[in-house]
This record gives sequence, structure tokens and C-alpha cells, in this order.
Amino acid sequence: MTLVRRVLSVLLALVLLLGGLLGAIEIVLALLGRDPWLLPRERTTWFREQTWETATIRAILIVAVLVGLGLLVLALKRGRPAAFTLASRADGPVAVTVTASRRGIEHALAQVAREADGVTSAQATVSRRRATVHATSRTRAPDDLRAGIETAVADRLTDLGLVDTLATKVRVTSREKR
Amino acid sequence: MSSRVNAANRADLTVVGLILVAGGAVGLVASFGGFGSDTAADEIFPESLRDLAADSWWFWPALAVVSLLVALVGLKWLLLQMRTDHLGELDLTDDQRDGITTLDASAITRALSGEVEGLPGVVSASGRLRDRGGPRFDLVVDLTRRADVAEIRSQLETQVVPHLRQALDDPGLPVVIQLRPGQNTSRDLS
Repeated sequence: MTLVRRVLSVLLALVLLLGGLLGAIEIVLALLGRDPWLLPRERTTWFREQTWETATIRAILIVAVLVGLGLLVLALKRGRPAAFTLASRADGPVAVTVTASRRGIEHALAQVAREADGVTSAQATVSRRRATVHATSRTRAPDDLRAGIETAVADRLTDLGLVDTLATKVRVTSREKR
Repeated sequence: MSSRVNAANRADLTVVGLILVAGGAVGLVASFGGFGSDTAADEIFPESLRDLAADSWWFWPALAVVSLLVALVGLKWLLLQMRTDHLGELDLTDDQRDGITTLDASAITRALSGEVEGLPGVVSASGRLRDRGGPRFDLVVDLTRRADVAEIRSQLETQVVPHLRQALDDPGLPVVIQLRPGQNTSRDLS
């Protein structure tokens, strides 16, 4: 999400910079009685003749509202955190913050699930409050397997110091061998 | 990426979004007769505005200035994207009368990374000195799949951080350690 905002910011900044410069240049050229540089005068004349109720103007206004809403969503939406702060140790040094990266946690939890007997593949996703593990197994009793994976995932989160931060959810899909 | 830049981008995108939504919404209300059918049938640039533009010598120059200000806002926003909070060197000067002392941060980060990479369970480490309203050291540590996270954390906090603070002559230097577990399995066998 940060990267998307950054790219959008660069694009909008360029639009403002180039648009502002173009506007100033065209106005100065008009004041000096020179021919326009990039914006044909007919286009601006057309724009001046439009009313609020013309279809084109309504379309432009609708697009403006939609783009604005899109920008608001992108600006205000909280993405998944990049890292989680671990609880301070009682005997830890001052002014030291220890975090665990979200991707690292996902790798670690997926690996723990894969190590369970009968699991052929596993993926983990971690959000602000929950760690979700999807495992695929070849056994017929996924419920039994799920309990084991839940315990292993909880143990790993305890090792990481995040068992109180993240709730766990484990789903097991059975793909029997024929 | 600098967190200050990220926060500024969020704020700027919010402002632009609000302007577009508000302007578009008001325009649509006018378009659909919310301010009266006469307003809906009005030209976007009414005659009064065109008369003002024709009769006032300052109108177009003022508009050109506004246009330049918009360009300046865009330029400032663009330059903001290039800002970094990376600190290349640390100023250790106590009293300028005795001379100016600076420390090249890269030397410290290289030495520190080497120390951290020597710990069992650590694949790689990289450090960076940042300016977050004062110097702060960020350390990223990649761990093997089977690394003992608690033990590594303890060693980092009780050995590595004190060494770092001693080298930088700053016992209270804020340090942020990011652990990245499960990144690599090749060193699990060693």
C-alpha cells in the first residue's frame, strides 16, 4: 500500500507541476498575443460554451468524484503492518524496540504447518490481529490434523512473543490420494 | 522509505481526494438542478466572470501566478519523494572549539553486521543509521527457519546493542531491531 501511495503521489505531483507550468505558459503567451504552445484556443473556447447540465460536463464531474473517492480510500486505508512489535523483556535494555517482520512470521508459520505429518502444502497470512494458516493434506481426517497444526502455530507464535497479539485460525483442506 | 514521506503522502492524497470529491459533488448538484434550473442551464464560465476577465487588467496575470503556485506545490511534493532519513555520518562533536568530530556510519554498520552474522541462527544482518528527530539505529536480522528467536533476541539486546552504543559513544541511542524469521534454510544444517 505504501508503494502504491508513493507511485500515485509522484504521478499527481507531476500532473500539478506540469499542469501548473503549462497553464502559466499558455496565459503568458496569450497576454503577449502569441500563438498557443500546446493548448489550442478552440479547446478552451469549447469549454467556455459548456453548461453545467451538458453530458460531457456531468461525465467529467462523475469521474472527478470517483477518482477523489479512490484517492481517499487509498490514502486512509490501513494496509497490513510490515512488522509487529514484540513485548519488551523485563531485563531488556532501554530504548530498544524489537519487531518481527510480517513476511517472516508468515514464512515461519507456513513452515511449521508443512512440518506436520500428512500436510502437503501450507500458506500463512498475517493481518493486524490474526494469523491464518491454510494447509492441504492427503489424510481423510483434517480435523485431527488441524488441532496439531494449531498447537504448532501457537508454539511458534509463543517463541516469537506474539501469542497474545495474534489470534490463530487454521484451515485444512483434504486432498485424498486415489 | 521515510515514514515522514509516507505520512505526508497520505495527507496530500487525502487533500486532493477531498477537493475532487467536494468539487465534483457540488458540480453534480448544480448540474442536476440542486441550485435551481437556471444555474444548471448556466455556462460554466458565466458572463459575469468573462466580463471581469475582460475588464480587469490583473485577472490573467493573477491566474498565471496561481498556476505557478500550483506548479510549485507539485514540485515540492515531487522533491519530498526523494527525501531520505538515512544518516551517513554521526556528529560526535562536544565542543566546536576543540574541533569537529564525525563518525562514518558505514564503518560501524559493517562491523556490527559482521558481529550479528556470527550468531547461530542468523543468515544475514544489515544496519542503518537514520535521522528520526535524532539518530536512531535500525538493524534488520534474517534468521534461519530453526533459529531460536528468544536466544538471538537476548544476545542482540545484551551484547550487540551495548557494543553499538559504546562504538557510537551514545548509551541512550534508540535501536530498532527487526527480526525476519524463516527466511533461509541452508544454514539450518550447519
